[in-house]
Amino acid sequence: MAEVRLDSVTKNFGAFKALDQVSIRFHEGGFYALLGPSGSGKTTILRLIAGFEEVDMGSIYINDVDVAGIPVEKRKIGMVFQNYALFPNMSVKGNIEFGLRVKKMERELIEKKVRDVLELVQLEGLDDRKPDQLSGGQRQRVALARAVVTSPDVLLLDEPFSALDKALRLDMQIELKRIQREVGITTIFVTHDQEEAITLSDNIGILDKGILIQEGSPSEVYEHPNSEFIATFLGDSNIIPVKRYEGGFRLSDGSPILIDHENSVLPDKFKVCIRAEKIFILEGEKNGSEEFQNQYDVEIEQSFFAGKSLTYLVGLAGIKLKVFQQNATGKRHAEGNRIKIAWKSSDMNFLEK
Amino acid sequence: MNRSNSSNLFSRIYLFSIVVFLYLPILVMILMSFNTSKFYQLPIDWTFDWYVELAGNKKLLKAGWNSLFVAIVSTIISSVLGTCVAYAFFRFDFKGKRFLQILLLPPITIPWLIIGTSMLIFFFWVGIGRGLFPMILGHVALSIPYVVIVVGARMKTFDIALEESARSLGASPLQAFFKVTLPWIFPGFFAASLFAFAVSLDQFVISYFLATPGERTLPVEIYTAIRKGFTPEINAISTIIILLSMSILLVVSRFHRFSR
Repeated sequence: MAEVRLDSVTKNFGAFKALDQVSIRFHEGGFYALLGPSGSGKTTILRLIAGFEEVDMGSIYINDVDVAGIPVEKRKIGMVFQNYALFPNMSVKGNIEFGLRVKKMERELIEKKVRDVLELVQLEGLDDRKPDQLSGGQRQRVALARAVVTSPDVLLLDEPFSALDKALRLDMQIELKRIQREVGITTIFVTHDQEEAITLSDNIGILDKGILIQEGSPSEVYEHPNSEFIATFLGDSNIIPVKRYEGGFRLSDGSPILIDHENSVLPDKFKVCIRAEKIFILEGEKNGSEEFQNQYDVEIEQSFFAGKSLTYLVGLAGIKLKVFQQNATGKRHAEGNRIKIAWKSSDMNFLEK
Repeated sequence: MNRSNSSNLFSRIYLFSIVVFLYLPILVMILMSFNTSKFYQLPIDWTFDWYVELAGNKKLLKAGWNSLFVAIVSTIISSVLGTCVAYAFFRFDFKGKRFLQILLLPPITIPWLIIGTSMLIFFFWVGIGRGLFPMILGHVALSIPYVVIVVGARMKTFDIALEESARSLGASPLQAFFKVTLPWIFPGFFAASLFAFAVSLDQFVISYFLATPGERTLPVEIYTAIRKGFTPEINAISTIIILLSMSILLVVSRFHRFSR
């Protein structure tokens, strides 16, 4: 187990800047998800830590040791590749014991470790199968077993679920989380799937174009996005432009909006975001409730039925707001109807960028 | 039913023609090496005389050994070197790679006569001269493009992640190559070696240019002998060569299953 640290790491591929001064601390025993669209640099971080690429500037530390110049095989990493990269000429057992055999470990110890790890990933009895005789989920278990059996300092996962279908993916996510907890290994996980990142990790770093935009616990990042990119990348957010006006704030159509923020630090023109599920439709006894500081009469432009939830697009101050409503009553507001929407000032986030 | 019968008939004829035109001449040659008559008279009057005679024909025997020696040595060199080249082309990006790759193809299309002439001139110019070793050099140069192409084709199906995962598990680059990459490309390597062996064993033009009167390969010796007059000893030594290469193929394919 170890702490992994990136210290203002920059990496270029020709003219393409893959990473621009990225600093991240991956805590010992933590499960960290690197999230971002393709080309954001998340896989590059993984490959730099593994040693498949070398940094152009900055440093990477594993266990407080600068790993510059240390070749892959000496870095004590375990890695699960996107398509698992199981050795096709070896059996399940051969794959798993590969790392132990290169280390010239004693035969009995190898046997014991292989047995233990097969039990950990619940693949007992499949020792002699070849990779092409396994299902997708089983292959992933073998890849995971092979990566952890050598007791590496850090486990690197490169989009490990992208090759699995949706139903199996959830099972394997639960399984991965269990194994990671049992082994207690520092895990760095690359994904472009926000849901996966939020459910699995205890810390998320979101990258875009080689820059670390925001990091924090899943709930922190989700509830308090610091930029328009993150607000729209994670979940469904409405971005609302706001202007300062006579001591208060107004939308572009002049209707007032109450911002829960120190007025002095806010610029004259800026944007706020509000999550689609945090906008409420006021009807019946809730109408006129004081709980919501911001209330607007709007017209429903479009409505979508998705079974457990309803989505409305409503017009407000020249923009379309997305509003989620749980399908509790089975009733759906018709398009063209006027409704009252409301939200709390504290649910809004000021966007720096 | 009818249609499948007729297509069946067609494929039977096709197969039959292949056997007739490819293997019948060889079979005739083998049979004639056991025939007493020098002039291919039938019925066959069985004899081992030509083999006995061959055992006494030092020139032909020596040429046979030369051929095998040149073929084996040049196969080893060109298959190892060619595999290295194919690996480098696959794994690394370097300046002039594209150019080198294109440069591989012309030797296959340039007539051997021209290659042979230029080799002869070049070898004399740099002082290598003629003989068995210049011949090996020539055969290696000739068969490397085939090796690079055959191994390269297999290499293309290799997933680099396999090598990377071996490295991540603690294997050095060399270990990763021998334990993961080489097993994967082995069918290609094996096929390429056979190819190189065949190219060398078959080679006449370049060998002819680079042979000295004392050191000839079998095709050159046979050609020289035929010009003086045909003897069934040539059938005998050809039969031995064929049986030898067939049994090599048989033995090797028993130990390494081609499929997978």
